[in-house]
Amino acid sequence: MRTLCLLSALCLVLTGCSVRREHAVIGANLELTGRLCAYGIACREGIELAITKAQRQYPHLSLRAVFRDNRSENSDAAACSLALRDVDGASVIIGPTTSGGVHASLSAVDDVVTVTPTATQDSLIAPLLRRLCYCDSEQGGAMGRYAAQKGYKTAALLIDSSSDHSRCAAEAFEKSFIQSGGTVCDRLYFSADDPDHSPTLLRLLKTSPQAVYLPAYYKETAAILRQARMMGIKTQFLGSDAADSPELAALCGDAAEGFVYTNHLDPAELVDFSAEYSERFGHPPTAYAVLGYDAANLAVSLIVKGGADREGVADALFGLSHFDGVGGRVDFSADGQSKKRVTFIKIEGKIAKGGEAV
Amino acid sequence: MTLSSFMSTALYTASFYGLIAIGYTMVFGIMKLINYAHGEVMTVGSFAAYLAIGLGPVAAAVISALFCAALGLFCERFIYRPSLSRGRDPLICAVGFSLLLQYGLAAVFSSAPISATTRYDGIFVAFGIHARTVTAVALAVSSTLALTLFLRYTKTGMAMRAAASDPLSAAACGIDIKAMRALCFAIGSAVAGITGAAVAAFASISPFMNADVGMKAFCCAVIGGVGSVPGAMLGGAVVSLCETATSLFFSSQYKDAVTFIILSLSLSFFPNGIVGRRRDRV
Repeated sequence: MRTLCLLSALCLVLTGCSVRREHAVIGANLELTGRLCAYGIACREGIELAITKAQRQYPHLSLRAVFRDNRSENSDAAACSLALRDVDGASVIIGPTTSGGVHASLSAVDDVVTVTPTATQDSLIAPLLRRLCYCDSEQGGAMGRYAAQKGYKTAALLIDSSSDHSRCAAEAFEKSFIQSGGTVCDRLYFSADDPDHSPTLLRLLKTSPQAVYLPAYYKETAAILRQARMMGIKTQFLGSDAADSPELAALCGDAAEGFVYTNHLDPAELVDFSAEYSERFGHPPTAYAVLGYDAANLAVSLIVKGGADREGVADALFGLSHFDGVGGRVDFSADGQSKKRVTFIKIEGKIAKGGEAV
Repeated sequence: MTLSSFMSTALYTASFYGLIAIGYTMVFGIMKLINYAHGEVMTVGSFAAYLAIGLGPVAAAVISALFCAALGLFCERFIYRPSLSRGRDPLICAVGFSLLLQYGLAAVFSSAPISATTRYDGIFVAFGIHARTVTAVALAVSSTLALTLFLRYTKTGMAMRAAASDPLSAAACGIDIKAMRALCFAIGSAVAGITGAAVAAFASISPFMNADVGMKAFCCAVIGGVGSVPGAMLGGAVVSLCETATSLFFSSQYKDAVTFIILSLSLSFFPNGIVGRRRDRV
């Protein structure tokens, strides 16, 4: 009897061992250090949360997230994607979060499915690329209409000359603002490396626009809002999703008050997710964290559907018409473009508050 | 737009460039060395002030100046002096030290920008002129005056000028050339520390914030006359006025180009700088 029991136990152990768990690596190419690290760090937290939950949901899968830091440099973004594909064996690559980074990544690796949470540049189209956000022409156009609806007759554009995102969004803003009856009275350029933007801002005192569209990363946005306040400029500043960071209010204090920018989601709609996220990381999520979470969930769903091999993931991707994430619904068109609603956020009392959606 | 806004902006930028250029001019005047790490020493000063801002702005500036002076001494004693004594070009050591400071700060504080305080942002002194401009101008004028008087009328200052002008003869007269060089580094770095503290009070700071500023400030020092403290300030004023006017009347896209055009013209017509009469001048 004892021998029979031992044999049965042995059989059970061997049977258990023979259950094959499919291993899948989800690579993340993110801005974990460098000037845009707030984006990458938030995105990483979202991915970590999503992978933990997916691992519980799909016990037959062995999911592993590998994070590589592109130091907010496009050249490093290309190297990170190569390493994720050739060294880590990633089935899917998430990131980078910026358009320049994604361009560089695709120039090096275009045979692995890439999901970018927040790269908004219009020209970012590739067969194996999907993004979980709107594009720059959508958000710039939406902000142009918003500005006109709010009664602003004249606006100036303040463009980061080193950023494709900034140029593209500004062009879309200009087009829709003029179509809506407004006038663009000035077009100013600044460089992200400038230690001081006041010589550029001086022109705003000369032209006195009612609104200034500033599609720039949060660091430059904060510096410009702060310096504008010091120069006594009281014009309404409008921004893009690149301004979304809790650091914005911390960097420029009261100068951010009343600043309106476009974003991918309304924080008020994320009550449950915020609670879960805050419990794990000790702070509320930004849009980058939410879209990082959604990107990881999309990657997992592709692996579940197509298997861990890259061809299977690619096949699953081609059948995808939309994705419902925590950050809202994204529709994918046949040419690889994404469509998503644009939400307006206003900073009030140092807190980003959601407004109407377009 | 009023004239006061234009002057306020131009004066702030002039003072900012001038204060950084002083550090370059001091070191180059006596050692014939471009201290490539000078901008990063100023960044260290900003972070020292960030840590000490709770003690008040003046205390933070003093702590920042002392810390940066000590850093300047360390840099001279353990990086440039050994390199020069072995007949090697210290420029590459300066580049290495600059990178070490940038990435060291990034490792400790992260590379994301941080803000020490925003409590002084809303302070306007008069006629729309912000406290930031007044602070920068006060620092620039007082530093220029103090250093000029020190170099012209004190024994140590005269010894520094002698060491810059003719090191061999100065050494024969009993002047400790090494001590003069160390002092030069300490003074230039202390000014950078005070400037860094002023920046931390009115702007966000990050480890890589001065990576490009140093080049511009060095241009100011060359335009004004390398080795001359008032020349550094004058160079800063010329560059600042031209940059501000270019941004206002044309586009800020061209302001860097204008700076380098001025540098080219200056090197063509005033090879020793606007106020530089001799090559070796402190």
